[in-house]
Amino acid sequence: MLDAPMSTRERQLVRRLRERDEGAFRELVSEHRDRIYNLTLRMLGNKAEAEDVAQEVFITVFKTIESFREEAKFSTWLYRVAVNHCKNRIKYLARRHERDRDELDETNEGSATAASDPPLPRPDRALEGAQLDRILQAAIATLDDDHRVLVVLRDVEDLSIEEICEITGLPDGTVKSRLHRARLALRKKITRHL
Amino acid sequence: MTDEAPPEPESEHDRIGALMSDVVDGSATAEVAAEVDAHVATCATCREELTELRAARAALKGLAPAAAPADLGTTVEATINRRSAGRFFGRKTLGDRVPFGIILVVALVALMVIVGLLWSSTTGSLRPEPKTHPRPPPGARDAIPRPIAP
Repeated sequence: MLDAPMSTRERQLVRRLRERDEGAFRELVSEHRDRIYNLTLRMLGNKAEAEDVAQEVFITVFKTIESFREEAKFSTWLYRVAVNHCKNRIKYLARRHERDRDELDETNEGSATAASDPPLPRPDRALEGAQLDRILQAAIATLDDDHRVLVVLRDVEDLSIEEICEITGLPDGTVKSRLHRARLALRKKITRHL
Repeated sequence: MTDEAPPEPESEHDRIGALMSDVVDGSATAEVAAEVDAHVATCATCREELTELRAARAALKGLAPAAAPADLGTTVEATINRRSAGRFFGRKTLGDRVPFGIILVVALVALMVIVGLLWSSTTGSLRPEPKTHPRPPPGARDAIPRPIAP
């Protein structure tokens, strides 16, 4: 459990959410939507999917607020819900991708199959703003979901290791070692473009 | 009896490598940071690795935060209402569902209007009758019996 307890404001918000107060719901979305969307976007690498999952996160939070036991900060619980949704969506998309690829293979027997990793942009192009963003996003997408979530939470969202342990339910040592492996995997992909 | 075998170079790289993430994070203790610094000063492979890890982390931290679509909240609300057929936000107390306050104000205003109308009405007035002595009917004096003359 995190040292920082829930603030009075957070407790009031949770109480109002449990009463299915529309105003509390709007407050919740307004306060957290950018961070949750940013997380889903970095995890999924696709705006439409990110928006869809962000919506599902808020719907889930509102539907399951009764199960929130107030042992952790509300934002930590919110992140946990978001991470679980992202992991489920990654698995779903991977299954769909495989199915689509199988169907493509059946119709185009003998043709070369597409690589599973998304292609990285060419390094000889100017690395300005949006393109660097795409390179980083594509590099993150090459990680498996267990590593991806740690990189996004730590390096993109800038959460503490302690918070990440709370969100993922992993021990400190596992988070650190996985994070290191994830960064090692990323560094070659990223630094050759920098 | 044999001396303790020196650590293999691979293991040392792995051990230092595991500490590098803490250094890159800025969460390493001063001792760990010094140990890593001392190692990378003499090891070109680890030095390169540390440089690349730092560059990768800096690039990731520099990712511009993405703003959620402006209508995310209304879309979510609409989805909740659609899926629950408008009943999701409906679990409210009777006091929340019925606007008792407004009803009370309207009732008071209506009562005041009715009382006002009755007050000013000539037929069904609520105004109390003025206290006046009733005048004797015409000819009442004549009705007083006169003393009979002897």
